[in-house]
Amino acid sequence: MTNVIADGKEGPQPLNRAILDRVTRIAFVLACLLGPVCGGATTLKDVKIGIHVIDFVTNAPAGRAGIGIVYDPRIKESAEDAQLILESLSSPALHLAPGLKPLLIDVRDLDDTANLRVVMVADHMKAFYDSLAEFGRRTRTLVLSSDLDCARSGKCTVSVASAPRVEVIVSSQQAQASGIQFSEAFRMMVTEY
Amino acid sequence: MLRRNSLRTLALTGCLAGGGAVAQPLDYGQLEGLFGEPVTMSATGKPERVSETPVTMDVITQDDIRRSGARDLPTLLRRLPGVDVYQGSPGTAEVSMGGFIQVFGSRVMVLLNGRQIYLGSFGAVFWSSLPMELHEIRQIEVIRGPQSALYGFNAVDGVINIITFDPASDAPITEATGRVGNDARRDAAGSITAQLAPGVGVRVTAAGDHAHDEGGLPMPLSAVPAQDPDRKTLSLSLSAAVPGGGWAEFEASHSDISERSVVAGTTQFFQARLQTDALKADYAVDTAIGRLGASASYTLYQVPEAFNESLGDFRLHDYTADTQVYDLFKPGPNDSVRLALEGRYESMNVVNFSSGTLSGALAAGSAMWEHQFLPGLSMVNAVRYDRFQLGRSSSNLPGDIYTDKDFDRSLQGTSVNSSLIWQAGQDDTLRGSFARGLSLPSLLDLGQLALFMPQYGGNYFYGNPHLNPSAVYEERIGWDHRLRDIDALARISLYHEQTMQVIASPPLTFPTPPPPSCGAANPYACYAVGYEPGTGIVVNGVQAEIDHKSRDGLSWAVNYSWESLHPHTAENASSTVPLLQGTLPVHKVNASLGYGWGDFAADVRLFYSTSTKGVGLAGTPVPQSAIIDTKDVMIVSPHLTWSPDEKLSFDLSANNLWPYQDNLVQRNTPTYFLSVTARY
Repeated sequence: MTNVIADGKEGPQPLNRAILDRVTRIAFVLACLLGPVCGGATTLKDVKIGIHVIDFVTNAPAGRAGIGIVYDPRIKESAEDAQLILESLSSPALHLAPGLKPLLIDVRDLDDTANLRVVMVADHMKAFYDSLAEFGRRTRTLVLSSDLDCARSGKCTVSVASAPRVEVIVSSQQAQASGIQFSEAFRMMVTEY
Repeated sequence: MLRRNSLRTLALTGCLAGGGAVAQPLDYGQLEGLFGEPVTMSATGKPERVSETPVTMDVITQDDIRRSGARDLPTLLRRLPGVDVYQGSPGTAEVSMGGFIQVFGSRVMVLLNGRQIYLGSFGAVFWSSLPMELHEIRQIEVIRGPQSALYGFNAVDGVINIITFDPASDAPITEATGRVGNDARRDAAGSITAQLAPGVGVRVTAAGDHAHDEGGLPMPLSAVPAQDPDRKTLSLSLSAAVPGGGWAEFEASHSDISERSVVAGTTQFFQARLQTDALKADYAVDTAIGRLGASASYTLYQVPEAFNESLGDFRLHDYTADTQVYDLFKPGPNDSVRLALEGRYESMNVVNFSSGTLSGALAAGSAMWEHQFLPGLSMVNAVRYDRFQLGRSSSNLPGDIYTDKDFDRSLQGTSVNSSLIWQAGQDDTLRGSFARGLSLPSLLDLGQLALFMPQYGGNYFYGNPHLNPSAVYEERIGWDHRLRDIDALARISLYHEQTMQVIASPPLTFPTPPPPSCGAANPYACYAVGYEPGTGIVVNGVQAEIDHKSRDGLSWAVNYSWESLHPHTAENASSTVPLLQGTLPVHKVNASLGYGWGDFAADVRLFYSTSTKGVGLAGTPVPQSAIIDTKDVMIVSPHLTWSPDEKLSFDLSANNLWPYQDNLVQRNTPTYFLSVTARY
C-alpha cells in the first residue's frame, strides 16, 4: 500500500517541494492513524487473494497467460515489492495455475507488453494510477493492487488486503470500462465502489 | 424443555424427506480460499462470509468433525449452545433448539445441500436415514431463530444446513472407514471420487452400520421389543461446470434403516423399517439479470414393515416433490436482491380409518433485500408468502368423524425477517433482528392418523383438519468479539421468542357427533384425543460461547445456554398446554479441551444440563400426560486420534462415560469404538 508520492521529472520547485514533502508526511501519518490506507509491502497473503480474484472473472480473454508485476525501477520500495510479488507467485504454496506466467514490467514499458491477463501493481506506484487505469481500460486487463484506495478511487479494477481481515474492493466503474465481468456470487461478497 | 406429549407418537418411523428450500450452487471452496473463512448461503439466500451474516450462526467444519470423535450428527450438534438432543433409542435422536423438544412436531428446518430433509408430512427429521457420511461434509451451518422468510413453514426455531464437498471443484474424497465398538457395533463406509472430464466430478458413497439395541427400559403399559439399529446407504453426487458459465449438480441416494423408536416423554414405541429414495438436480448460471438458479427434487419414502402396539402392523408409501427457481442480483453497488418461487407437493397414506391419501400442495414466493448503508453497516429484509392447499381422498369408512370435505381448505401466511448488522471495527460485530416465522401443522397433525384404540379404553385419536399455522415472533441481539491476544472468538446472543399457539393434544375431547361406538356400554369410546390450538409459549434465552481452535497445540471451547419457557394465554386457545406446568429454566454447558502434537491429537468434551421437568404418561385407564422430574445429565466424551501419515488414521472414542437417563424409556449407556480410516 502506498502513500508516498514518487519523484517525478516535473516536480515542484525545491522550497515548495520541501513544504509539500512535509505536508505529505503529515497526511500520511494521519491517514495511517485513521484507517488501513498505509502499510508495508505486498504480502504473500495479498498475492494469494489476488490470484483467487482472477478465478472469478467470467469473461477472461482467451490466450492471455501473463501476470504483469508493474513497478517503477526508480523507486527502491517499488522494485523491492515487485520482487516480493514475483517470489510469492513462484511459491509452491500458491498453486499458481499452469500456464500463468509472472513477469516484471517497468511501468514505462507497459505499453510494449502484450498478452497480459492481469496487472499486479507493486507498492509506491500511486503516481502512475491514472496511466494504469487507462492501460486497463484500453487493453481490457484486470488491474490489481494491495492499496485499497486504488480501487476506491476508481483507478484499479480490484484492490485487496489480507490483514487484519480480508477485504476485496471492486471498482465497478473501472471494471465496466475495461469490459471485465465477475461472477455474481463474487460480486455479492465484495465491496463495490 | 418442552416435550410434546403425544398420541401422535402412535405414528410411524423414519422417513427422509424431499422437498426443497434454497438451491445453492456455489463454489464454497474457492470463496473460502479467497476470504479465509467459511462462506454460506443459508442466512439470507445470498453468498456471504459467516462473520458477516445477520444471524446467529455456528459452523461445524470438516476439521471440527475430524477432531470430534463423533460418529453421528446429533452428537455433533448437541455440543452447540442452545441445541437439545433427545436420544430415544440407540438408533434415533431428536434435535431441537430454543428449548423445544417435540417429537413429530420439530420446529427446526434441516437441509442437505439445500434439499429439505425435514419431513413436513411428519413434522420430523429422521437423522439416521440421511444418505451422507461425516467425512463428506464440508460444513454444518446452524442458524438460531425463525428463518421462515427464506425457508418457509417450520423454520421457526432454527435451520441446520449440511453442505457436502463438491466432487468436481473440491479435493477428491476417496477414503474408507471401518469401526468396531461395544454393543456389537460394526460400521463401514467408503467414498470414491472420480474426475470424468475437466470440470466434471462424481462421488459414490456406500455405508452400513449395525449395533445391538441396548438400554430399552421395561414399560408398564407396553412391551418394548428389541430392534437392532441397522442402516445402509448408497449415494451418488455428480457436479459439472456447464459451458456458458453454468453449474449443474445431480444427486441420487437410497437409504434403508431399521430401528426402534421411542417417543419423547411417553411410553409409546414402535419399530419400523424405512426405505428412502431421493433424486435432486440443481442448475445455476450467471446471466444479464443476475444469477439464475433452479432445482427440483423427488423423494419416495416407504415403510414396508412397521409395528406399533396401537396401530398393529402397518405400511406407508409416501412421496414429496419440490421445485424452485430464484434470481440473485445486485441492482447497485450497495444492494443485493433475491427473488424466489417454490412449489411443493407431498402425499402420504392415511392410516387406519380411511384407506386414502392425505396431500398438501404448497406454493410460495419470497424476496430478500440487503442494503449497505456504510461499509460495515447493513440491513437485510426478507418476506415470504406461503399457501398450502390441504386435501384428502379416502373412502370415509364408518367411524371417521371427518369427511374429505373437511380437508378441502388452504392454510397461508406471511413470514418476515429483518436485521441490522454493524461491524464496529475489526474485532466486533453487533447484530439485532426481528423475525416472524410460521409453524405449519404436519399432515400427521392435520389428520394422517385416525385411530380407534381399544387398549386405551376404546377411545379415538384423530388429527384435526381445522388447525392453522402458528406464528412465532422473535427479537434477538448478538455481539461477536475477537480476542486477538488469545486468538479466540467470543459470542453472546439474547433472545425473546413468542409462539402464539402451540398445537397440542388436550387430555380428552368429546367429538360431535360422537363416535359410533359411544354409548352406555362403552363410555370410553365417547372420548377422543385430537390436536387443538393450545396456549402460547414465551421463551427467553441466552447463548454464549468462546473458543480457540488450533490444529496443533492447545484448543479449547466453552459454551453456555439458558432457556426459560412459560405459557401465555392466546386468543382462541382451547386449553393450556399441560406440558408446561412446572417447567423450569434450564442451564446447559458444553466444554472441550484438546491438544494436538505431531501425529496425535487428544480431546475431551463435557456436556452438563441441569435437572428440569419432563413429560410422561401416568394414570389409568386412559394414560394422561404428567410432569415428571428429569435428573441432571452429564456426558463425558474423550477422543484420541493418531495419523501416522496422510493416508491413514486411527481414532479411539468414547461417549456417555457415565450412563444417563433423560426419559422414561431409554437408558443411554456408554459406547466405545475404534475407527480406522484409509485414504487412497
